Amino acid sequence: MKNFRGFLCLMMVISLFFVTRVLGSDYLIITEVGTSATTIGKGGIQGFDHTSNSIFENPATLVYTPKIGVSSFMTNLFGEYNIMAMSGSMETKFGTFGLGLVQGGVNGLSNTSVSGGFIQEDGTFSFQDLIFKLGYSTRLSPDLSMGVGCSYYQKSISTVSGTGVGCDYGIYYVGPLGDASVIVRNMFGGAVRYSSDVSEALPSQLVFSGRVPYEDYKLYGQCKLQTNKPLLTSFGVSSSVFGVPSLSWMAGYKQFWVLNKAQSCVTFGMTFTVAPLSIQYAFEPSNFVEQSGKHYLSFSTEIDTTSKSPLEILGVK
Amino acid sequence: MFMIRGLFLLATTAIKLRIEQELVIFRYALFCSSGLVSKTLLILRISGLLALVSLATLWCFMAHHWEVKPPLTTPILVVVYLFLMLNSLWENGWVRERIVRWRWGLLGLVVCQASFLMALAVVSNSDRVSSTSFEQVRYSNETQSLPGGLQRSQIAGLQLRKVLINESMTSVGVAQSDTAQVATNPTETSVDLAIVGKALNYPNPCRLGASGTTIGYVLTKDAPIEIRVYDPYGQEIYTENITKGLNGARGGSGVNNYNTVEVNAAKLMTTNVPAGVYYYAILSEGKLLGRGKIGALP
Repeated sequence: MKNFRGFLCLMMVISLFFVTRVLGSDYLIITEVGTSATTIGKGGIQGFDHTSNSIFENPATLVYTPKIGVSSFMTNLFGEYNIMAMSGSMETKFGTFGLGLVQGGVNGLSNTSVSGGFIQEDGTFSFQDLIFKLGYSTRLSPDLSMGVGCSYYQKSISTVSGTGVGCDYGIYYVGPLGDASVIVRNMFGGAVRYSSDVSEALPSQLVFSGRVPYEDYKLYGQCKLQTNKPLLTSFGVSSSVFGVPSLSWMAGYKQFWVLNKAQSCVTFGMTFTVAPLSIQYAFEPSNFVEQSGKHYLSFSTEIDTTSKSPLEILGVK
Repeated sequence: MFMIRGLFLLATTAIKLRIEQELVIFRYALFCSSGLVSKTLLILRISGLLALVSLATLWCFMAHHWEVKPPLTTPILVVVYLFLMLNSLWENGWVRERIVRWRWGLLGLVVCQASFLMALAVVSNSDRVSSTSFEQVRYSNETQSLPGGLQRSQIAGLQLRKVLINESMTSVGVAQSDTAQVATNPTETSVDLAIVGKALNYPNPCRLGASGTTIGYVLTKDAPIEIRVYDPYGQEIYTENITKGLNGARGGSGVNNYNTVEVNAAKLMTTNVPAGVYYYAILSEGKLLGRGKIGALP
């Protein structure tokens, strides 16, 4: 087991060199929208979501999920783009395993032709985007954990479809002053190959983030790096609502890529927890025509199978 | 419509108030660590639950039948409430015993309620579809009876090109405005500004980061136009302002007045446009006239 861990550490170090070599990243990953309302609410800070949803962010934090964790996330952008994510994690004696699925789609795109100088609609087609993830996480020491993830990407537009595979890894460190997270996404690069003989490179990303507690607040900071794109920084803060421990709020400043440029916005979110269920909501302003903002909703639940019956797990005695 | 919205608001407020009350009770129950304290309270809570379910049904009915856009907070609060309610009710032995005893009946009740709501949704949707089909038939009948040379034709929802160039085309697009008019004299001020039919783009799907696509539409009259293009997550990636009277901002019927605006790599100033769905909006002085979707190929 020690050798295996050593191998994984070595792989991480080697992959850092790959990250700097990868060029021409242009595949648009659906998880860039966000896969949990808590992450979005605090400015897109990744790596501190200790639910099974962490498989989409930092697989190393899967070890902090309960025995069995289930999460879901959903949003509808502008009444057109439905995005849904589901994930689950399970702790075993070999480490924590997780799997996740993100699916997005838009229907009713017009298939067109030109006749008599006018554009006419001949029918419709749809767009589908899917990511399937498998993850594994283990503790290297009491305060250090690492995780690896494998992603299967699939995208289809009309009759053109493409698939690709990417690998992620992450490290999570719990220190005396705060926590730190490092994520390397698509560490070996890779590409999504389409049926039209065209490829899109999978973007290699390096995400550093940290969390520092300050009185009743938790302060977050993040740097995100992707080849051929400007560096992104994000900041966030979260705290529980005074007098209501089951309710917490979060806010953040987020930078994101729009084609090859960086833009920014502020975000806001709320979390309501009644064990074992947690409901999260996040809001992000939008400049889309006639839309003031984007709304995100996620649910997560944790199940401890060691001592409870199924009814107890659901919160009933 | 005002009355419906009022009723809707009332139902929503009642649900919220009931949930707030429940949250207070829930906190009290947590404080006492004994769940329900008396049968009176229990009866009150069960009647509250029934009232809530009725209100939720009414809420769903209104949302489906009158196409009122409901706030998302209400169903979330209902779910939270039901969770809390069932959780705390289960703590009472008398209730637990009866829930276990009547589980099949309760399950049947839930199934019936769900079926009712689904049926309601299906019926509401089919009503909408059938009314749309009726309108389309009516409009195409009007189209056939119209003379070939239109001067100022009432073409609510009709297939525009079929009339203008006398060709048999099946789907140019359904009008967005039922009262849209096309003026032969584009400067005529009495005509409301609108897009006749649907704004479409060709080719679709296309390679947006290369040759791009051409957006085409018919305006009822000349007006300054703004074209905005958004990425798959709704971020604006391109804006073009077109002066009134030029291609893209001229009104009137006929192929010569058909507006076309190109969106391509040169305009976006990048060839690195990932595959996905992009959106465009056509506006005039801040008013949305039409929008469409571009399928971008890799």
